[in-house]
Amino acid sequence: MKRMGKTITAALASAALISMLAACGGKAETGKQGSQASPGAAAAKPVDISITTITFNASPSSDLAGFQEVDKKLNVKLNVNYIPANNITDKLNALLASKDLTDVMFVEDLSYTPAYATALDQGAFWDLTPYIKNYPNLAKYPENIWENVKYKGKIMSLPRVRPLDGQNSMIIRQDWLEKLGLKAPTTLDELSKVMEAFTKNDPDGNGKNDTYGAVFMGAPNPALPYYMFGTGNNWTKDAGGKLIPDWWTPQYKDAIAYFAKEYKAGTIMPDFPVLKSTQVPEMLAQGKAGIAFVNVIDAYNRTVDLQKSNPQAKFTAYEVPKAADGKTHYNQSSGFYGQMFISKKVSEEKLKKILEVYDYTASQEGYNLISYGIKDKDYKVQPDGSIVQTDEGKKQGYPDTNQWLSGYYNKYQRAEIVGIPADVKEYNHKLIDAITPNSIPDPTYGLPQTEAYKEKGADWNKKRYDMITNIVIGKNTLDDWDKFVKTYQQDASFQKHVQDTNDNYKQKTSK
Amino acid sequence: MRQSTQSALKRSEALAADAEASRVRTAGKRLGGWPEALKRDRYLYLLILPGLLFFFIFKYVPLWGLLLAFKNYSPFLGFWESDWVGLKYFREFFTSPDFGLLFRNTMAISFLNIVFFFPVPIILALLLNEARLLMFKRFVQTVIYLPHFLSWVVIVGICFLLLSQGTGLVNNLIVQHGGKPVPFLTEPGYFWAMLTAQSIWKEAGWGTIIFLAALAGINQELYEAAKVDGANRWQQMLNVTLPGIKSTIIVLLILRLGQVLDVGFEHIYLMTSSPVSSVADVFDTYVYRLGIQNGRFGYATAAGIFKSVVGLVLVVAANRLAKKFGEEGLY
Repeated sequence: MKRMGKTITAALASAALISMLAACGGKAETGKQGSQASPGAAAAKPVDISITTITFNASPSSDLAGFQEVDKKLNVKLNVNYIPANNITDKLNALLASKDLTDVMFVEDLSYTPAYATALDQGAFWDLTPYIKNYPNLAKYPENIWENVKYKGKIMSLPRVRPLDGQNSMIIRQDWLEKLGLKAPTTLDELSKVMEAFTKNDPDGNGKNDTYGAVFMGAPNPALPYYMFGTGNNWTKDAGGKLIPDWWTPQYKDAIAYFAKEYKAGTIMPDFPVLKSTQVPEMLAQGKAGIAFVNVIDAYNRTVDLQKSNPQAKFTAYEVPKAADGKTHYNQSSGFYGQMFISKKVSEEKLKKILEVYDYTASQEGYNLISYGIKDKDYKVQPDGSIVQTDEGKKQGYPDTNQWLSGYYNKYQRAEIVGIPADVKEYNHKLIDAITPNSIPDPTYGLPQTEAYKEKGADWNKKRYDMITNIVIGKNTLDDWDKFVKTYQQDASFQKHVQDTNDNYKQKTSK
Repeated sequence: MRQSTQSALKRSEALAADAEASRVRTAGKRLGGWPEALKRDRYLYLLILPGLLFFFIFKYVPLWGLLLAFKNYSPFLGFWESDWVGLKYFREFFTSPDFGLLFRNTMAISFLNIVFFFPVPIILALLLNEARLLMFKRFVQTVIYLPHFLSWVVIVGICFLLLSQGTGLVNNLIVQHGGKPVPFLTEPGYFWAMLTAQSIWKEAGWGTIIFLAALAGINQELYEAAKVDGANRWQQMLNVTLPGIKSTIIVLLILRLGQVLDVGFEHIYLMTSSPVSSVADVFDTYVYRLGIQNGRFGYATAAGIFKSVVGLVLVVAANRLAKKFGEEGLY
């Protein structure tokens, strides 16, 4: 099968070559546009580009038609080395230790492989700051993502972009709201009332008192929507402009107090402390709870689950209620998963070629070519814009071929899915648009983990999670919380952690 | 009378001398001729070789990794490049503010396990041994073996379905009969009992196998002799069956003591939640959190060594004790 694929590929590739010979130069002028014609240079030798990246499946082949198409188009020879996800950290460290770096290196998270941060400091990778603006598709990534990916104020890597928003939203049983004649809550008080009604007024109409207002995951960590209260995203600035953990803020205490009150009133599923992440969707699908704080797209996903047994049931995603200050608050995600570093060993000429490849694959056309193969042969585009792989395409083994790309930014990725009805999609897109202006980034994105955190972080987190959960279920009081926060504010190694984080942050933001 | 005793004594002395001589002979033969013995029984030694290699390669060679406990091991630097830290990790481990709590929880869970779990397979085996219908015995055996093949994930999941407050079957019944839901899974007071009960449910059936094998090895003539002496079923069990499996029980108990600080990471980790964490945090979960999650392999190794040393001391002590009371023991 593979051999046949190769023959077809070769035939296609030569056809492509003929058709593009005039248009495609060996050395494009990277100064202005990614792949502009440069007549006369067509005979130049293809540039070899070696790339190391992650894979979550078996390593895909580099001989796929989509790759060859890109090779021909940009006159390069792509050679991708895939590392299975479960030992990526060890392997990355080993590659660095043996000085065996490829031209482009994927790094999942600098805090997992701090050795790469050291190498960065030593100048092992290209500073991309002056180049990005010349590549229109890359330059189109949102400014926030470029900010988050910066290392000590410089763009040292290409982010593998992901949407910034859509992971924070409130989904509600629309059919329950309608049955009880209620409106979706826009304030915390209204949220309390809706939760109470969902708990006590038998919204599913089965005559039994067996429903709850909301369901939250509690194990291994209590995933409550603290952000809704305006706590800041992971770290926030105090009055003096110093970064402090979000859980030191009074808003965070308000959040705990609010959920403790609700738990006591019985409107939160009582199994909260033991519910794991996979059990939350189960509870929603069983019609046990009417509200959850999850991804925008989960409203549709849970509706599909529910309608298997109850065709009337429907979840709708909403903005989260306003905090006491009258504003809606959201956390922004980092906007990328993993970074691509370019080795300083490559010449500037080659660097530009590499960026050209990344610019091309940051367009939808280039992205699809690497991710799915040849259009209308390996994949088809549905009328609503979604992509469906053909049988031929599935045989080629394309999964994970796009792991080495930085990709293109799709703001609505967490709001859509294959098969979603057009009206829901449009509604979700509008919701994302409403969320975006109110979401704030985590100031510590891209910072290395502090030594103190590396040593004790897991234990600190566990103790905090235990305390929060125990306050919510009423085993501890809010006074205990004050004492808890004070202990950490006075703990020497936690102080060091906060201080180092502040220092790292200053280093990152100082230009 | 006196004469006959004297001659008997002489005879026995002669016999003892004979035995002594023969012992010296065989010992001399063994000492002098081990290459010969090796050659003679070479196929037997060849047969044992894979087993020896297995223990050497997989059990003894990795022991050098214990050195990690004395190093600030970084996988990036490699073993030899990592710094020596001496007893730092041991000191940190023993002076940790959580040490007392961890020790209490671990010992309590282990102790409950030995007191309540350990006798259950013995009692079950004795009951099965008394079953009159072979079919019935086989059926019961099959049923009680089954839970052993379920993983802890499944068992904890079943427990959740039965006992959770919001959706659990048991609590639904309690509420229907006008009671208040009981927080089985989140009440620290129930946690240890819960763990022990789950262990019994899962492993007690499987544990009967070894005792049933020991029961099968008891000489049937002893039962017949007991019957002739007029012993009833109960007396037969007390005076024939139990003494017959006593040495098996003691060996298993000694082995069990060796694992007194291993309380089943997977089981406890799955059952842990914030409300019960004050009674559920044990050495294993602590090591996982501070050693593995934070990548401090040296620290995790130091804690592992501590557990092994405690286990070894208990095994040796229990073995001594068993021998003192005239039992065979392990070695």
